[in-house]
Amino acid sequence: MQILDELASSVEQMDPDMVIVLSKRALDADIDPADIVENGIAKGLRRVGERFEKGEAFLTDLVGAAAAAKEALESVLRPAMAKARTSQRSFGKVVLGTVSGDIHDIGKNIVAAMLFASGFEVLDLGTDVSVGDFASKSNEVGARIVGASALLSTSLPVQREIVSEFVKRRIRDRHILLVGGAPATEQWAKDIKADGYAPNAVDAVKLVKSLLGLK
Amino acid sequence: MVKRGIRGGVFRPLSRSDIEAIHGASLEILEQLGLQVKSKTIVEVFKKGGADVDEEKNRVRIPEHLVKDSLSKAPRKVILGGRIEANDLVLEDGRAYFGLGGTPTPYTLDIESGDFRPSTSDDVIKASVLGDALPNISFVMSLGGASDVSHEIAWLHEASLMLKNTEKPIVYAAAGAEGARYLLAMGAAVAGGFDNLARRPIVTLFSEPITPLVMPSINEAVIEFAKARVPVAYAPGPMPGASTPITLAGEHAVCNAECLAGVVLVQLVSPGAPVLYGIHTSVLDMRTGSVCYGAPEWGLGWLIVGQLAEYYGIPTFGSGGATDSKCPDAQAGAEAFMNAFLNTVAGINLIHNCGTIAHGSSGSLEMGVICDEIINYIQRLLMEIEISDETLAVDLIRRIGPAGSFMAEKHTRTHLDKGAILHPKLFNRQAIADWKAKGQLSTRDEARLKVKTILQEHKASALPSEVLQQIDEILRQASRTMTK
Repeated sequence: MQILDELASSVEQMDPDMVIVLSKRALDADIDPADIVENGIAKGLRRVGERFEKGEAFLTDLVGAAAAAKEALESVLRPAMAKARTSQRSFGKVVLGTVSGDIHDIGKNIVAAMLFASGFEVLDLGTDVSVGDFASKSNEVGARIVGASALLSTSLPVQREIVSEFVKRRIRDRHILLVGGAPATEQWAKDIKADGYAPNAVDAVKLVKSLLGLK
Repeated sequence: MVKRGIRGGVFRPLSRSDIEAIHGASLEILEQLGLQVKSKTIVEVFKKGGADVDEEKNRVRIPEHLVKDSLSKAPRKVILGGRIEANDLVLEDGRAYFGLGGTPTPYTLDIESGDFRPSTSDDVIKASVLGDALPNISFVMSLGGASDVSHEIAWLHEASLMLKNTEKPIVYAAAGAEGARYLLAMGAAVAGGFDNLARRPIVTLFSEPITPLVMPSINEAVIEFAKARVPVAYAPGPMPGASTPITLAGEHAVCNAECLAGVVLVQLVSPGAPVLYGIHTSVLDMRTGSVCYGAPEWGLGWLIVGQLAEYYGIPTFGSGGATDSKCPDAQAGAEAFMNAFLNTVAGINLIHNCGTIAHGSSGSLEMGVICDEIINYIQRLLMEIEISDETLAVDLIRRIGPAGSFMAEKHTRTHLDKGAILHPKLFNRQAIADWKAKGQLSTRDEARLKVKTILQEHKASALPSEVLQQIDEILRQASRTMTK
């Protein structure tokens, strides 16, 4: 559909006003809001992700596209979905957050947008999230995947505490725990007995899909 | 005799009106927008000092007269003390000193395996010993970090290892007011009391805001150091394009405002207390998200910082010698030289991050040794070129005449002693055959051998046993009060 293509392009072009206008126009044309999300907004985000992977787009494109998408989702499309009693088709729930003692969230926000674009339902806990909140919120919403981000070398050790907290609460086997952020590495993830690490948002989506056995 | 660093500060690409434009933009930011200050204690200091404070929103707006007044009180010259006077540093007009490492890195490039692994206390000790031994390294920070101790007291633990293993001044971070009090107590134990610590400070605090324009509560450390009249380096680390405008000018308008707020804070707490100025103009690589230490824009930023600090008349804390390369290779050499050199010609005083690789995520002892040689080259580059009858040597040229030789002349020998030619200690100038006969060693191979020799042979003199006991007691107390 042409309007959904235009919507995807407006996300790619980081134009929040146009994303809202086109989302409303699509609703006026009686297109199912879940369809608008999947084949318009998410499609635009996926295209930026693909261009980023090829080295053709920059971080600023990812962040800008995600911000444009978020605004339309929150102000137009989620309310419409609630009203129509439909929901986003989802591969599963993901809880994300930046660990306590750390307020850096650019990377985490990109991961959130890319997971959303790939069909996951994302609950973003924000920044400076306590170890306890990671465990209780993940358990509460039944998130299969939990991602903890840290940028500082001083906040990195909190990722280990999160793994311990899940073990302590006897919920470790219910969740797949992933870590990311500048000081984290594959080896670090192994050392702290997390389930995985990805160096960037594109790889994070691949990792989550492979861990869940999705294509 | 104290150590007097080479005079840099010879390159000033911006005009005075450019510098005044950045200053003006920063004043506008400070007066109109202000900073979000997330500490009641710090807000109180600004309020008492005459800043415009909105307590509900934790917003502090700083008027121009307060900035001017604070700048006039901040000292032009700051002295750092080593354990011995020969290690004392004089931070003034363009004098450059280099330091090993920075704040802790999670990884270390292991000299045996050649691969990255998590850093431990042992790496901090080895780096301090190396920094103590290398002749061109004048102060020590951390290469690596103590991931083997609880993270709440890791900074203090690392600082204690540095104080024990080098006789040179150290620069380090502190976790808020409490961490700062412990760090000061350690410094006082080594210096022989708080008065001596203020006179010849062996510890300098490195503290920073959270760009853009947030002063976190951890900055309460600044108040403690200012009270003790021990130097504070207040130096933000922006991510241009993310936490500031992507342009050098916009980035410096924001970060200069932050630095000035730091200067005002120190001077309000303790007029005349030493404060150092600096802005880590890093680059956020828009393809990888890496915060780069070896980028050309990093060096350009320090040129701006050098001119701003000269305009304000305060000493500087800078960074050069780091690289984004993952090993000591051609990229590492080029980046380390470029930014160490640009810091020096910018007139930056304390230049840290020698030996820091992989965009601040790892330390490399080999790279530390290579930086020591790079500094050799930089010092030679900045030596004055003397033009005089003695150096023109026309009488000598007349005496030797066409087809003659200068090799056996006393003039040649005398000027060799005066440093006419720098003979590198690490970089290789052997003929091909000799180089092959000696095993075809690369710079990295040579550096690794030098690291091993130093670690085997060098040791800083031990601190008196009562001082060691005091330091350990401070650490014990900190782990009681600071860990969960």
